[in-house]
Amino acid sequence: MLELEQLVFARKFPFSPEAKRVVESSGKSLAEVPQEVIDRAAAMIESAWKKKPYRLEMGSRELLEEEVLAFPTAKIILSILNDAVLNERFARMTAENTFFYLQRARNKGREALGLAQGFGLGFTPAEKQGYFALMPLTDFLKASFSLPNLKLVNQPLEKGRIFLNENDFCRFVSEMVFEKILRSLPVDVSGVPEHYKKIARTLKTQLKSTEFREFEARLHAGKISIDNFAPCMKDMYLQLFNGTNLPHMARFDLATFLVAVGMPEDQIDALFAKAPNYKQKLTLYHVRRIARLKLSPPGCKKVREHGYCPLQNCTEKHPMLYYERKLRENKKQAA
Amino acid sequence: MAGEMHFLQSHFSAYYKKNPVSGIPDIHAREFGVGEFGKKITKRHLSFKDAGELNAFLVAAAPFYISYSAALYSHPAKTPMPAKGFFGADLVYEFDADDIKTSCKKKHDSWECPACNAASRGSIENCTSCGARVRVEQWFCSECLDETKKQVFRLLGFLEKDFGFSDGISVNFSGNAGYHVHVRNPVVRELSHDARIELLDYLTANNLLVKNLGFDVQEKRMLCSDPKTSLGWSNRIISGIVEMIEKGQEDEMASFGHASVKKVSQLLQKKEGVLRGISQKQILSGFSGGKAESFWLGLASHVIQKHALKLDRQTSMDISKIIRLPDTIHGSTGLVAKTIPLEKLSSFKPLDEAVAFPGRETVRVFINKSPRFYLSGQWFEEFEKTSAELPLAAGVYLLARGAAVLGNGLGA
Repeated sequence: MLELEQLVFARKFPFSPEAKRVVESSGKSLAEVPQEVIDRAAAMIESAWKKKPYRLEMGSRELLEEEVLAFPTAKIILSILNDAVLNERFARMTAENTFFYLQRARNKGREALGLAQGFGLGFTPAEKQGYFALMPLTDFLKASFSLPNLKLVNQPLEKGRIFLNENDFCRFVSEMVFEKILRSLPVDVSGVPEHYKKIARTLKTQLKSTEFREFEARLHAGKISIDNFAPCMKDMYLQLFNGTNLPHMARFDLATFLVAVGMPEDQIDALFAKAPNYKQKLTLYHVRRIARLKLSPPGCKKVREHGYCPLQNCTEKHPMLYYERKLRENKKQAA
Repeated sequence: MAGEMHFLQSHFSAYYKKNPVSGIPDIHAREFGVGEFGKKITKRHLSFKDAGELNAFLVAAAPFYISYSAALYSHPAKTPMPAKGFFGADLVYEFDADDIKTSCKKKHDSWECPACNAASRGSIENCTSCGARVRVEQWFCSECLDETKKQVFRLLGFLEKDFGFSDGISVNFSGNAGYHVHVRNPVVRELSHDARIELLDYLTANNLLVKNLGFDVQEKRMLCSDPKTSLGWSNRIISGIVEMIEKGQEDEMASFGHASVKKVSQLLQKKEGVLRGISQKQILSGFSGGKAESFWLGLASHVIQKHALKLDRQTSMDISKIIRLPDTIHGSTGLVAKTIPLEKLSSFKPLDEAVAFPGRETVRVFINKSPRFYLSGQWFEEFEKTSAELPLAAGVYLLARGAAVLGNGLGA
């Protein structure tokens, strides 16, 4: 029987070798995973999606075991969903949790060292005063830091060795967790029982509708409603929102329209981020170029030529005329 | 220009016959690109199975420019880029005299305004008369090339003392205006794109936070790092400040610290105490008045600017770029992108040692315009619409630059 301390460690760090041992010792196949575990896995994914931390109070041995099992279960569900944004958020949540728990550990240095060993990284206790550990530069560079204070340029570096204090070492370990989790997804889902796919579908609908409501709320706060969009633009907008890989011309036409109606750059970027092959730099380049050159959105004739008009007998002339007419109508109704 | 191109290419071919290129590892895994007169890259996605095949191509085709990839591919000739099968890349850093301000540019560069026909010496962007963008004719001399070489030495310092990279470093003259530094070893090859950006940011001090490096205000005292134990940029900054104090660089400190010479002078009168404060307590003291913080941070900023390398960010980040193949001829100058042993870098003189066509052979050329320039042991005075019998190296140089044509300018 596993020691409680081991279970607590495995629950805090569900990617660790200790956690793997807990999962193996449960002896459960995928089909035998209890509903409670699956529910926890779904809750984990939902927290990740909403960018909220997932931290439960430590409870009974049973609860701890369920939590440990929920992590690989969540990874299976994520792999069925196969959503790059969701995977990244899940990896980020796990990394933030890691740092959170390390900071609160009685011996955070020792726990961090234990986790680092699991990554096969080379590090040694620091000889210099004030530092906790030193590691090879090339290992340090395996993590990609977004926090400016963790950038290489701000590190004590000598002959290819980075000297880290305890806090920065914990942060580094957390970033390695992010890399490790992200790279591990998707896992192989062949042979996964059918009910996992059903759970994944339900979760996707739920997450998407929550996200859509939140997205819309932001739009409405900026007073832009897709209900006022012409059918072609609305159709392309929703397709993109749902992750469809729109062809370049469709994206370009949509982007010029969204810029013309005054959607902020960051919201356009957030929408385009749902595309499977999204590249932020390229997206922002095009959006800014469209704004700078004041490119006009396509008229209906062009949209039909490009093949994106969803209606057989549309009599409109231009998506912008449609939009402006809708705004006038709404204003009249509100008055 | 057909006659000139043929002349140059026949000489390039003869050069390659006597001087085959060697020393490039993993030729079979690299992409190559070639260029024509006036355009550095007109064809890419070439590959060669080994040095023999590459050298046979150089003799036969004698391209004006040939470049190769820092990246290694399973199928370097395939297109598009993702089909090449990338599996690693060297680190390459380029230094160009274009990017470094030197006083000699006023002597050898010139500009001309296409809008109002104003012209003068020097290198500017916009016409001083009408503000339009100007055409600049850039030349390079040993002074600007020496300044560029200093950047190479700074980089080598970073590579060894900071990054611990000592294996597989190779430096070559670019063949025109600067130097290229290649780092080729198994560790570097596996670095991710993000890791390369981190290294680049380190070299250029991008995103540097002085507070993180120990320079901060605490309880109204300006703290600093310990020059004996600090590392990396932290050590560079404090060592730079200490050096300015020890040398009593009053004017420099006043200028970059945005302080009066009088105040700096007062500080320097107490310099032993100031240096003791730095060494023993890691405090920057001795500057009276409310602007102590901006003074010390101004000096820190100056030290950072002095040490940060002037690297082109875009080209340094681009793993798929191709760069001049070392030991080949640069088609804009006729000079060789010569590999230089590190121990000889200090004394290397490109305008003497990277000449592809030394010797006594001469050629008659008609020169449209050129400043005074030095090449292969000789100074050449300014030419303007003149015919001259020049040593082959100088003739090739002017022809390659498009500053001259063959013959005496009378169609002969």
